[in-house]
Amino acid sequence: MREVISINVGQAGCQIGNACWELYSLEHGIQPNGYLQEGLTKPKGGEEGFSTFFSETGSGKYVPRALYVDLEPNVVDEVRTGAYKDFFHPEQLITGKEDAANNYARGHYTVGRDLLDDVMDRIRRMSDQCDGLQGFLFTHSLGGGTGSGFGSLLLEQLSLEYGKKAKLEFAVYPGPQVSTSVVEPYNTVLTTHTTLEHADCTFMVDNEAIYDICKRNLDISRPSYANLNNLVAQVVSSVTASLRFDGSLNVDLNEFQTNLVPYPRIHFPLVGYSPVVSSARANHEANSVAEITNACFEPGNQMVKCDPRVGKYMATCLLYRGDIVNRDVQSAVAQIKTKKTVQLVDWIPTGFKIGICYQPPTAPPSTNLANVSRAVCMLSNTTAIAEAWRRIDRKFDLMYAKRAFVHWYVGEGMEEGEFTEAREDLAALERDYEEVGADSVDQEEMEEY
Amino acid sequence: MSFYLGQRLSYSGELCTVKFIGEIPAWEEQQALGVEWDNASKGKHSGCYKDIEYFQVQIPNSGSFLKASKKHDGVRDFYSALVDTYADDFKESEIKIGSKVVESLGFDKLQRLQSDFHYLKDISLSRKQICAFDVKNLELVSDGLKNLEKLDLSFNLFEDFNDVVNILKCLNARKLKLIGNRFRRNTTLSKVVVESIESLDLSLTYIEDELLGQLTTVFPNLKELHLSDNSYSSLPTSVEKYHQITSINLSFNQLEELPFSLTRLPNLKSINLANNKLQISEIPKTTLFQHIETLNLRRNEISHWREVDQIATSFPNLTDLSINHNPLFDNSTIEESEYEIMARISTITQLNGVSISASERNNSELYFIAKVNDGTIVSYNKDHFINLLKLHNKALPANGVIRVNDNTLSSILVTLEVQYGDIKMIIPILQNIEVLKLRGILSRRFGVEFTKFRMSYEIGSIITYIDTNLTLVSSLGLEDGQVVTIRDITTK
Repeated sequence: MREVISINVGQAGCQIGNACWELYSLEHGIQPNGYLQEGLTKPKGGEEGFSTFFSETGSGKYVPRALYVDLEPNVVDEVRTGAYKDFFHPEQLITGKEDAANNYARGHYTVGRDLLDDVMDRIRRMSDQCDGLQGFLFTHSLGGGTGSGFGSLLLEQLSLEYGKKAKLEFAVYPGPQVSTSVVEPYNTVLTTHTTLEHADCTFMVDNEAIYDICKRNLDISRPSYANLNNLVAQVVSSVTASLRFDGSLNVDLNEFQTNLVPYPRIHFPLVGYSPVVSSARANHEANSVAEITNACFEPGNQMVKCDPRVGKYMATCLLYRGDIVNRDVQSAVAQIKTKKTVQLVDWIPTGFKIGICYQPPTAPPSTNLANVSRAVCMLSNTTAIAEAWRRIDRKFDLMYAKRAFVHWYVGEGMEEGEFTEAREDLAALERDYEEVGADSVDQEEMEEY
Repeated sequence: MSFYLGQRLSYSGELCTVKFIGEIPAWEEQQALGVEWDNASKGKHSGCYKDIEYFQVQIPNSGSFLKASKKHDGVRDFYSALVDTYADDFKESEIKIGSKVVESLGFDKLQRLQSDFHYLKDISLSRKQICAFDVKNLELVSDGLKNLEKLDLSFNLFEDFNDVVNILKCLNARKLKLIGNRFRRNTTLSKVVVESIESLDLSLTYIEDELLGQLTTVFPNLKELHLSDNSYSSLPTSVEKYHQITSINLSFNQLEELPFSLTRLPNLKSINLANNKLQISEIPKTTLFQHIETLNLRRNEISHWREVDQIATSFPNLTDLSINHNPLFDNSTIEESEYEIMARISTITQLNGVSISASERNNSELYFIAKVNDGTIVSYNKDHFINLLKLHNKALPANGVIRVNDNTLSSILVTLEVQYGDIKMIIPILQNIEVLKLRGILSRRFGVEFTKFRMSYEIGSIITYIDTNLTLVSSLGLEDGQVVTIRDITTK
């Protein structure tokens, strides 16, 4: 019941998908071939929650409710031949022949359009297997051609066919260190404009921020995509833990989502995660509840580069995992309260939720992460995240003022008008954030008198 | 409460050891305690008051005097700390941030679950002032915590290791953390064996060598041993007794040399030596870290590429190396240094936490060969370099040309047969001179005018003229016995 279908689009989406499913399988005690680990009679963490992400075949094999889509075969071929090749059914891995060449227009119109029917067909078949589909979990990048173009196309289509189902996104925001193309700002603005109405909640992960976290906290001088993705997987796992593990103890993601999104357009929570420590250091920092709680409010542990100290919080959720004692959480939150930097807007009555999932985080052996017994993930809707939009808009404007690279898009049948329209929409989004961050009018007036 | 020397106490969460009990002139007729703080920044002096030394401390300025009447945090039994933390009937108080109440979800259930100790797999009782274990609660604990896997007893007030052993023997825990406890010296452990423990963390305990040796018999199945932050300047000898361990953590110590005694541990696969003061001196060929696969040398004092080549020879099966943040890499970009490390150590598949792809390895080796050949990089491991050349189907020059060693003259000496008309001379040449200089030498030896001849050499049937006056002779790739012909320009 309450199944969730994960859809990974494009190179970044598929690679993050890999990291996530590897982590899920470890957390639930599933081997790479889809069968339970030796000595287990049922998946770790309870069967009910588990079935939201996995389906069971007659032979006792577990298959993820996941779909990999890419317009070119390379990345998905690695899944097809890799360690987890038996984990997925071949039907779950869909590839085209011609790549999107970092071009939103190719992903959205020309090349992507051809693949759409096929993908929708598979999604329909997967949703038919569900008793009560809860929603979709999207993973894609904003900067790449397939992730942005085809991702938004698919989301539009899903919105048409499954309008009432929740659609959550994990979107990789482009960062200059690990950039693959110059047109990333175009793709980002275009895809954000298209999906703004269709996604219910978008968790952004900024490659630059994650790159810095890897460098600083994990002591990796030159982080690779694999390192970045492993970290993203930890975050995704924390967010989805409440869906995957049993018990009323866990907090339903929907409950948080309702709390987190005050307006449909303001649906980009900032994600913070701690502790991120390498195996070498775990012994030295006492990863106490108070410490990890404090840490996830630090800009250095957040997944998008922005300074929440200058913004206002509309809502905040803290999702704890592992060995947590109630009293410790209470005192940790009381401590956060004393921080001047955590400011909540005045027009929302509630705003601070904490939840717990007793399954501790898992560090796969291949990652540099230390095995810790507790972790916390913070989801907060803060106006500070508008900074990310301002940044990408500025880059967009620089290029678009000279119409640089626009011919690639026009050549695939797009009109220039779409650029202007998308850019205006993003400008409106920036304004929306300004507006919600402002104090209510009457209060200000009171001070005037 | 009476005090005794060596007693461990906690004052508002800060731990200390009693080093002196008596009176000091400042507080007449009051008992004073001289203590050494674990957190040295809490200290005020090194045990002296008005030039009289009352006690000695290990870290300078970590001592201070307290009135014995000052209230300390008390001491607790393991069971009461456990009940207090996990089964406490804790009432949630309302926390408000601004005008908003913090809502919490699921915590009532958590509390019910936790007070049923069977549920607990992972408990941390750090900083709970535990000093002992009351045997009368033995059954309650052993039955209640039968599913326990990880136990964290860091920063408590244990003095006698037997207390810890008593707790462990009624449990089935696999992992134990004892960070920041200070165990009494000269303890004799009771003959108890705790088979379940696989991982033991004794960081920041400054544990005595003798006690550490005794622990081998208590934990026969230990796989993982953490001894970081213990101020070791050399490895305690008792570590050699841990034959069964597969991984050891010695980070944040003061080691200056690779601990060779670790070669005697047959099962050891992983060594963590980050944040020490290591330099890698020359290691005898017979000392091989044969089984080590993972090595962490981050933040040490490695400053020469010779040391990296030494790692390659002394760790023949190394696959995972972390070596960033050493002085050696300060002056080059991280990409360059990582390429060079990859090429120098062929066995590694993971470097500084990042997997090495096949193409990266290939590129790095070609880069390395090119750089060695043009003289900007020096290889200190000739066999390895020759293997690389073979691997990439590069011509195998004779010994003189490979710049494998920068400090012996013979390695850069090449003997040429120079022919001028009918005259033939054998001339030894140092390869670090420029072609111009070579020309000068030949002009003197044969009495030909400096500008009136051309030099050439023949490999196979291809004649190559040596006209590049400013390049080094080494870049020509000449071998011993190579014939160099001199021709007058007019006779061309």
